[in-house]
Amino acid sequence: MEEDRLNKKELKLVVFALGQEEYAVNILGVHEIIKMLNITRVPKTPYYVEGVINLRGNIIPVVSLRKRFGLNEKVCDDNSRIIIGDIEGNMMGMIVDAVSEVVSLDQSDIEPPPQEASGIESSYLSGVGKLNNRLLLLLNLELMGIEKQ
Amino acid sequence: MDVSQYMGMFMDESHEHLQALNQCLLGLEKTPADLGLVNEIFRVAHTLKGMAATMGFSKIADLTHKMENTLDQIRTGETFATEKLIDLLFKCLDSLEILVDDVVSQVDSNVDVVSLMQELENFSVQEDVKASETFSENDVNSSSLELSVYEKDIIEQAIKQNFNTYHIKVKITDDCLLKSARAYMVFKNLEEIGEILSSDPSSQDIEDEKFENEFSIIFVTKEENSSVESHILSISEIESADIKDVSVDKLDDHEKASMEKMIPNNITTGMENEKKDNLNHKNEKIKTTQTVRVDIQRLDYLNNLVQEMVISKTRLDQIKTHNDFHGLGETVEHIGRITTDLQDIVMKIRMVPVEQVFNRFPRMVRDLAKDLNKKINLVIEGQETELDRTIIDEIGDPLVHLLRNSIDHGLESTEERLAAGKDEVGTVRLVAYHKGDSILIEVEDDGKGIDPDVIRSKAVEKELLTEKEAIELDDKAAVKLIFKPGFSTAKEVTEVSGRGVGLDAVETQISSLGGFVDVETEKGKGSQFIIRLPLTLAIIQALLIRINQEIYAIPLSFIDETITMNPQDIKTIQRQETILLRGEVLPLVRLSNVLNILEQDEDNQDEDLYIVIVRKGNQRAGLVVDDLIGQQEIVIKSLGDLIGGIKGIAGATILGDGHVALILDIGGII
Repeated sequence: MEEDRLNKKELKLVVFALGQEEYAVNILGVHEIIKMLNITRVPKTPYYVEGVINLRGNIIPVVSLRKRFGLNEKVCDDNSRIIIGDIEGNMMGMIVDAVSEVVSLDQSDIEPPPQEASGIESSYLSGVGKLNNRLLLLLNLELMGIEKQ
Repeated sequence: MDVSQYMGMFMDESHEHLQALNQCLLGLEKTPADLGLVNEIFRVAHTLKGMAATMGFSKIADLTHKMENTLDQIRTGETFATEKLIDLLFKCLDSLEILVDDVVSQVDSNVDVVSLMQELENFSVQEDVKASETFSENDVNSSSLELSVYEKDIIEQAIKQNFNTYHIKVKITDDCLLKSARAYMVFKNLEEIGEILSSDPSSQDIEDEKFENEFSIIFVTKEENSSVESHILSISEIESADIKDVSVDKLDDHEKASMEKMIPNNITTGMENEKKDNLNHKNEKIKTTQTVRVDIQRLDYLNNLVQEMVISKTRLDQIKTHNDFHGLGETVEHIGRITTDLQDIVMKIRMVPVEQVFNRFPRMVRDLAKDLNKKINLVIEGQETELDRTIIDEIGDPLVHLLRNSIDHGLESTEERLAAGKDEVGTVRLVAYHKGDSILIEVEDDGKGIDPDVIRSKAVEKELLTEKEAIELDDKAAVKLIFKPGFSTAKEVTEVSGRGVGLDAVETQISSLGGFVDVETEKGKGSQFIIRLPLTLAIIQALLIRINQEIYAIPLSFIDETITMNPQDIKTIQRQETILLRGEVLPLVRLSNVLNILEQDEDNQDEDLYIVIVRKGNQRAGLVVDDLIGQQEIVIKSLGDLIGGIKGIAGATILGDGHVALILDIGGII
């Protein structure tokens, strides 16, 4: 009984594109999605940290998910977006190629992350969601924090 | 009842009340006869009791209840505020503080409330006997109208200054309908020619017509008996006015008895002055402003929004210059004025009087004085000086350290002071004031001062210097050695200071706030520690510089000057680039290297370089930059937990165009 109810639990996910893959992140962890802003580089930070932005008076660090996941770098275009997410109480921006939609996904359609997910460190993923014919790689925001140098 | 939502309020208020209690107790210790203070303490204890009982903290409620009982006996004159009793009340206060803190941290420190309560009870009983004895004697002398100490004091002074004091019994006719109105007229008429000290029943009761046909007044005036009488009888429906002199001897007897009763120790000299102080003190209390408690985070949020608005205003300004619609310019200007005012007020909201920190020192100094057996007079000035909240939170510990230092090491023992021909009471002054863009806080003592020779030999002993270096050092520089890590001159480790953390801890903490400490001393006369702090941490003056395409801000407080220099003049000594500036060799730091900025093409080798000369303490260095943009007021923001704590970067700020610029931490660079 209890299991049934839990299994029926629906998740709202923000779907975004990164290279050839489609990723998704729980909407509860997303503050907002903004267009590209001027980013100020910050020295002595990990290679994937692009810098900081000014979001209505708040200074927020921004990371490139492409760099973080070891994908080829790509020049930002009109579709590029920054997803402002909540990382353990701190706001952090993540640059993605495009944000497409918000979808509902049933818990039961989520499978544990594959052992080897196309070269990406699977440790960032909390699972793989099946939506019709699409596969969504579910990002675990809690693991996205920036390592101290 | 769920009281958790009131917890925050309870905490804030009880801390405030405990602070008030502390101050009143300190005051009472100085002037044990001041019933005003006793009343204040009683009131605070009572409020605390009520609050604690509502929240269900029975220990606090019980203890305050017992305190109230004891205080009530002082109030009614059954017992008096002896040193022992004040010590006991201080103990109660300490326990209350622990109890309140326990509530926050949800632990139980096992404060022995029961024995404290027992002590309070014992006190009451034992004093009861004594008090009742003295009282019965007194009753014979006392006049029909009860006088408070304060009133007696005024009467005494009035008599000295040839004023007449009368005890007036006014009788209103039986058929009078508006008794209170008639009484009011009597009061009003009398106030024209003198001062009414008290009345029986109280003026409130008279106003509410809670009296029969008679009331009595104690009245001080220069007028004669007959003139006073005519003033009263000029009012209709007054049957009679019975005026009696309040005689000096009668008062004296009464006075002496009660004075002796009130003042247990030999504090009779200077009574007059102290009383006057108390009167002034009472006047001060009225001057409280209404306040609202606000979560500091909300203020920060408000601050952010206002800054955002300032940035938008700058953009509007730019739009205005390109297309000037009719009336746009005027509106933009108006918005500009409003935003400036808003920015100003938001900053001011964050300012709090330094009093918050200073308040806890009188008690600390009192306890230290007792522990060390020294006589100390702590003078606090400028406690209304305002500082940014963030600084207030950080400044407490360094000040405690400096005060302890002054009291323990600075001030001599009573014998030494007397032998040196000084007043046996040592003075420690704690002064805060504004000076230009800074706040200065001084801790000054009239003790033995710092002997540079002692410092020199100590430094050699601790291997901070060689003997030769020590001799070459001038006196001022030698004294400054006390700020060096690993330096502590206390011969023995006392509980008060010298626990391994020296003055270097103070300096570190102050410089982390963007300020610095200095010391001035004269052997035999005393020492003075001066802390200089920026007005606010949130806004600073900075120089904006450009390296390649990146803009950085350097706090102006670190900058000595800016110069231009031909690259040919740079000399390399032991692989370190240096420049020669007016005879001084300064190391040169290429910021592009430190900040990992890609070098621009090196084709303009002969062009002059911009160099910013910065200083950290005695250390100076030159920073090579591509361009100087200009001086600007900037708002400091943290980089946050995720990427904060980068060496060489103090934070970030938002420029007029909305872009982020990083603020350099000079301490981390040179």
